[in-house]
Amino acid sequence: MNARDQDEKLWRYLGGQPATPGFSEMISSNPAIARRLAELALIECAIREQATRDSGQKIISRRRTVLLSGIGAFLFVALASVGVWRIANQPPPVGTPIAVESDPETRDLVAKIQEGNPVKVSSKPLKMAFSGESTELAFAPDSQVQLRETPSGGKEVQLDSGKLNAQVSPQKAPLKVVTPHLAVEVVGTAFDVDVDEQASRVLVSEGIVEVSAKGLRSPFSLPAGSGWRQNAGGRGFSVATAAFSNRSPTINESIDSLWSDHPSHPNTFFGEADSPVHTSDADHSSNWKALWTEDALYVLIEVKDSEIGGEENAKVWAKDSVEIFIDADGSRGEKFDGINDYFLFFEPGVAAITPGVGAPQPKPEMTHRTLRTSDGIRAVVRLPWAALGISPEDGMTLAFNVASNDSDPADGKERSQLSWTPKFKDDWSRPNRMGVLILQGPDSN
Amino acid sequence: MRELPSNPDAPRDFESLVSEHRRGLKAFLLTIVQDYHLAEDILQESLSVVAERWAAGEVRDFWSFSREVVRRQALTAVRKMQNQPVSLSEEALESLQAAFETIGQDPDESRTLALRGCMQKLPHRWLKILNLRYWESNKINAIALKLNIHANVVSVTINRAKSRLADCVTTSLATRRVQS
Repeated sequence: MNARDQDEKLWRYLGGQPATPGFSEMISSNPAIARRLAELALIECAIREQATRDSGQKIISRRRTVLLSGIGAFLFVALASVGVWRIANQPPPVGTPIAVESDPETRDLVAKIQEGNPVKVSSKPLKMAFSGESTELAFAPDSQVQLRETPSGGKEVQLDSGKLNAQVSPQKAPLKVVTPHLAVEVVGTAFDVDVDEQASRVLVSEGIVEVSAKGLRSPFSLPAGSGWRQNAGGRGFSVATAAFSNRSPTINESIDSLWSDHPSHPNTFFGEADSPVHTSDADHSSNWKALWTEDALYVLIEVKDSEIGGEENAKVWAKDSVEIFIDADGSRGEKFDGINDYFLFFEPGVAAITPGVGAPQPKPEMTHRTLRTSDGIRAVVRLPWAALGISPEDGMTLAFNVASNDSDPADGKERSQLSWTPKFKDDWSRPNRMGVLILQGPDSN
Repeated sequence: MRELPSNPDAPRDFESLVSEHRRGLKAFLLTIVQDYHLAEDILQESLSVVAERWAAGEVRDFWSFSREVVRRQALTAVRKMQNQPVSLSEEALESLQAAFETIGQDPDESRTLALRGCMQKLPHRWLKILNLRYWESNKINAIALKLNIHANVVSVTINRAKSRLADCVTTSLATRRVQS
């Protein structure tokens, strides 16, 4: 029996034809044929899955065709009465991708995108709008892009590499951006997505974006000023921006009104502890803000903690406290570099800053005011650039994290730690496991 | 709401293992139950069984354990639903299980990528028939009517096209393994 006949026999079996004893014998006595049957079954599944996936992603051009045919009769009458020249002036259906610039190259790329084809942006950035709405997508040169329509009628942008700046007006169905490492959904906002082989990063500048990624157990809401970086290997990091301020905030008993202009970042992840004891947000929750001036980085940390505890514990991290990790030059090494990596603990009512185990001593110029409030702890921290050994500038990225420690009751046996970026056992000593803080301004403030 | 982060350094999480081996398990089921949709249903049931055992910490090797669960569930389902013995002998099933042990290990995503590339190499007419069958869900007779050819020609063409794709995907995956 030749290979073609053998395959035909195997296909008929997979299609439901009962196996004869001879067929079973052929499979059991010949591993190569068993292997071939397995290969054919795999290809059958792969084809069906691909077909199902594709049919769930009707391309926008199809929608356009349906819309056009639906109003075909109307168009016919209209064209007959007003003349053929009006054809070119018919506005495309709402939501149809259109080129912002009218050069032939851009028009050609957008035409391919309209048809649902994958395109590679040339050496010139591509700006694309959508008829009937103010959404604008700007792709950097060499970005690889494909546009589809989702089953719910929304737009889905597949960005395999490159950069996207999106200004999205309110949508009936969420606009999705999918990269090899993460997916984001928005209904009306502004954000940037960067993709390369190693990672994808989304950064939100307005509104709220929902991100799904391997490093997250469930979709995660990102407000303005925050983001997410997802590495191909699976590790995900929180991202935030710190805006420039012409004025330094005061460091005293009350909160400077200056902070109200800056976004707050919640510490969402349980850090370090295997079995955190955490009963409610009143028991323990925390968030932080950051801003920078020409002289220093300022961080405000606010903690809700309904019970003072942990006084019997000797170590600061086992008491009610807050902590900041900073790798000022963003070198993200495997361990503290001894140059500008700091791991700092702040305890209410204690003027001194305690360094983490193995971390450098804090510089005397680093100051803070950490106190108990009616419902928890508040810390304002000043970290001068000179002490950190860097000169700040717009767009600079620092490795950064903030965490809060809650210890209850007095013996401190019920503890939880909340961290801004995902933080696992021993990550506290690893700069490459910290989140990303991006300095913005002065121009972009 | 607070959450424990997903740890990529920890042993592989269940969802990613399922995602990686779902197709291999489904294909193994298909060789037993000979019905794609039935295979999909049984796969769901099987994975819930595996999930329970996984949560109880009883699964060391996801791929081997899942194949065994899938096999048992398939045999039970076929006997119950068709009230007849499974077509293949026990020895043939053993042989198939061994075959899947190696080739089903390629991640689903690699196979999908390879498939996309291989489809581009098919003769236009074969691709058209495959599209009509799987992408547009036409029955064999409907395709034969559309193309004005005999239904048997449609069936044979589809099978040959799929065999060609299987050869191409197998070669492509083997090449990638060598290169990596």
